[in-house]
Amino acid sequence: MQGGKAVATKDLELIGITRRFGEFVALDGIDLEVGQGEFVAIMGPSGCGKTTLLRIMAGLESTTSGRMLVKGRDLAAVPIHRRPTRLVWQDYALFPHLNVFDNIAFGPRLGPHVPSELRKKVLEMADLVSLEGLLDRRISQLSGGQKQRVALARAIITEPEILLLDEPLSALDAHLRIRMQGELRRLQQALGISFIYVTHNQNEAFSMADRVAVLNKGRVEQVGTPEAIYHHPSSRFVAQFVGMNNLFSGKVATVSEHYTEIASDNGPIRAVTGSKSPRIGETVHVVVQADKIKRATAHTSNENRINAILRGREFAGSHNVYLFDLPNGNEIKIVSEDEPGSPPEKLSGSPSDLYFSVRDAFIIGFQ
Amino acid sequence: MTEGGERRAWIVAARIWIGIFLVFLYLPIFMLILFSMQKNQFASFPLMGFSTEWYRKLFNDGTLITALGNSILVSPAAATVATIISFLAAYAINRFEFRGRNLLTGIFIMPVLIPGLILGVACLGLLSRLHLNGELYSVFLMHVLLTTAPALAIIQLRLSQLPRSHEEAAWDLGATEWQALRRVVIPWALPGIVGGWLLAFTFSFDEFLIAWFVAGFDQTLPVAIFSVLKAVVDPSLNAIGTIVFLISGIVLVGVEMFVLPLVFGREQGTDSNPGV
Amino acid sequence: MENSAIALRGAKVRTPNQSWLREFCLLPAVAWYGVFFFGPLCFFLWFGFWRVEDYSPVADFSLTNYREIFANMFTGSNYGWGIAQSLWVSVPAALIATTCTYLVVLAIVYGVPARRQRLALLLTVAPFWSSYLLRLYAWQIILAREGAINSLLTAIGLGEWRIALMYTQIATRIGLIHYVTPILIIILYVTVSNIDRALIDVSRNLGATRLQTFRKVILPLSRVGLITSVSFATIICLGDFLSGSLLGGGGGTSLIGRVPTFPDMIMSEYGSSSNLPRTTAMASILVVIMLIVLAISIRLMTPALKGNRR
Repeated sequence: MQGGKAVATKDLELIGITRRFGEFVALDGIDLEVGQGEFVAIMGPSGCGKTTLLRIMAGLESTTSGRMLVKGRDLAAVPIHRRPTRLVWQDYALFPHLNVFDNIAFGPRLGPHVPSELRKKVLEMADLVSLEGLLDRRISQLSGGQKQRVALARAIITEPEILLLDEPLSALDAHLRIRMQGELRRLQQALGISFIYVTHNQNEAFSMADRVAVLNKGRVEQVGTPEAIYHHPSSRFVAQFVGMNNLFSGKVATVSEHYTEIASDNGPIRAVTGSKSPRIGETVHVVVQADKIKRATAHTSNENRINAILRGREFAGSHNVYLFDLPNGNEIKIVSEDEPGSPPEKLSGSPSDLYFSVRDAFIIGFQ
Repeated sequence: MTEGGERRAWIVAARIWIGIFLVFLYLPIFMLILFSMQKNQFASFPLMGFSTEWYRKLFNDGTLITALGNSILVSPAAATVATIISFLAAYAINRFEFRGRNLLTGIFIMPVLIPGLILGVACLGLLSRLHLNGELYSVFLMHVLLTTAPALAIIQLRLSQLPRSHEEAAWDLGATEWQALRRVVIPWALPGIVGGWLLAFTFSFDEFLIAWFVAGFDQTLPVAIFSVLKAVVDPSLNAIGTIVFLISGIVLVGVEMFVLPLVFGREQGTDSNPGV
Repeated sequence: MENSAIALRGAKVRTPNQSWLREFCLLPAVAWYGVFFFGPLCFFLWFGFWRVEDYSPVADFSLTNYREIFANMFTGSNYGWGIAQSLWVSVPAALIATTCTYLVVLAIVYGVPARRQRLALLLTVAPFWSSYLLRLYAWQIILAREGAINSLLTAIGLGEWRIALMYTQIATRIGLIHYVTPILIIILYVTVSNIDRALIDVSRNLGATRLQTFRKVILPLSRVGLITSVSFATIICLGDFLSGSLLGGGGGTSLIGRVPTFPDMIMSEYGSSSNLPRTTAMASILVVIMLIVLAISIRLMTPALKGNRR
């Protein structure tokens, strides 16, 4: 099982990538595998090390320790201009003194090439990213979306094995961003190469990626499908970073086959017992998504009930977000789709009962 | 007075002041050109009529023309070498991060801050010890040093506006360092390189003190003009002056095209409401 | 993955920050500066301590030159009066040049429409590109006793208004001011154009008059630029020899008397005696004076910088 076969099925393997800048640890033992033709998003708050990781993959930064393999080949000694990776920059980094055609042809022209064939190839690329008719334009005459396409074409024409994208949509307006998400995904499937996509925007990550890696303070917090990350965050950080989740902390009181009871500051909370169960007495967190908490509905034995005081309401277009204070002083959010035009809450400051199902409560944070 | 009226009064005053200042700045240049084309032996009124006598005298006499030739030789050569040196240095300073980078930049700028008198005496002291003084190439050597600083400042300014990602993108697309330099960095730096050369040329072409100390008998133009000035009143100075101003004017057009857009941005701000 | 056998050492990849290009690119500049800048400067400082035997300098570490200079401060060669004359010429010239230029820059920034500002700047900076020596010569023909101004005055019958500025230190200052203003324009334009317009609008909105806005907002925010400008101009003027020689006629008259400026003394010392070490020692003293001016300006600037910090 050690042989070349296992290696060949992976486009990229990062093993213990660590990068220190003096005392500061930017990346702390990153392990990540990217399968063949996979779209992986690396997501995290600013300063989590995601851009440094991308630059290490491209060869723009060195590592303090760790290894990087592309299709089983160690890239340690490969300098940037010989790597099979291409980076697409956040600001596109298009060459302003060249027109669109010359920008796209930049890579192939660096080596031996036949001009007529190159011309054909550039036209194909332009076709692929819908840039027909713009090849004679200067870079300054392009819109943001067009620049984005030129940057993609310029990278793809060199036939990379992996395309690295550094927040490539962040400079576009919301409307265009959504359209480009679809196009990027289609492009990746057409080319059949792996895309590694760095972003701080979870909508982008979840809508395009096969798998998402969440980074925090130079460590990988969780890797998984968007569904797994969204519904089953494995750590307190992921739970807070992803979606709109509420967290309750407490010590494990009892563990049964179906549910685990946790003694929290806000009273006992029951959560589903997963495949791994915590020990009694251990401090854990319970995650409940904001849209799974209901106000004053039917009270079954299968529901947790907590007391809270309504503090306010935020109108968020299609839904309302209600903020409540818990007895221990923490704040929780619940999302509900009230009928449009319902009167603003007059009972601000009034106590309410909130309910959520045991099935919607997950335990995280134990060893 | 109304608000609008007061404002207009201030603006009129401001423009009158600019006008007075411009008259002060350009009066000498105008006078010199005027009297280079008059019959007057002395620069005094009334004017005696148009004449090209002084230009003929200038070209027949020879010393000033020889000196102009020396300057035309030394200044472009010094500016070219200085531009190459300063482009390389500016590139390294801009691209690499290393200790003492700011210190190095400061040191590179120093020669223009040190008065020519001091540098001239210092150079003479050393060069005369080494028996390198008294020839045209000693002026060249020192002028390369003197003009590297202004050229470096302009080229560095231009390079600092090149987003780091452009050169990185070239490498990423497979360019070697040399290819990236030639295909991305130099095309970008070109206005700065031209501007730097023009500035270096100007500094060298007008430099008097260092040249005076080290030139010996191979005088550059400013040195020759000074010698003539100290000796006699000679209206052919007006003629050479006009020629020199013409050369400066050509350089200035280049500066307007290459340097000012770097300093003041390609376009002026769009807000155009004058007045405090 | 069974990677325990492989030592996870740092990958020795050569990143773009490590390249032979760095040394290659810096080498020419560093070499040139080493040989033709630091070499002469170090030699310069040492050379002032050499002595002269049989009309040729001998390497030594003697204070003879400095002793001679200080002995001749206010007697004999009057070096001290030369220094005083230099300061008396330079400091007022720098102050006048800065004041006039500052007013011009204010007029350009606030009195000229934005699209014309670049032209106005170009016109005011352009004389920098013309030969300084020739400009001084042009001032000679303008200010001379039978020069352009006086002959014009006589020609139109205003003979009693004739001016007598030539070969005085006032003429020296005119030449210096003409030389430094284009440079000061740049320094002060950068200062004034960086003042946030919104601050001026706020001040006017709060009821301040134009003059109050100028005194309370624009002037304090220009302080660093103004100090830089005055000290820079002073140092240039202190080191200048040409204007004093050509317009001041060497020992031009002033309140201090008919004394040449210190650079003029250095140049005539160089021309008349073969004692190069002593010339060097005099130039070293000039450097010290310039450093003092620089130190004073930095001292004046520090509280202004602190005040600007948020």
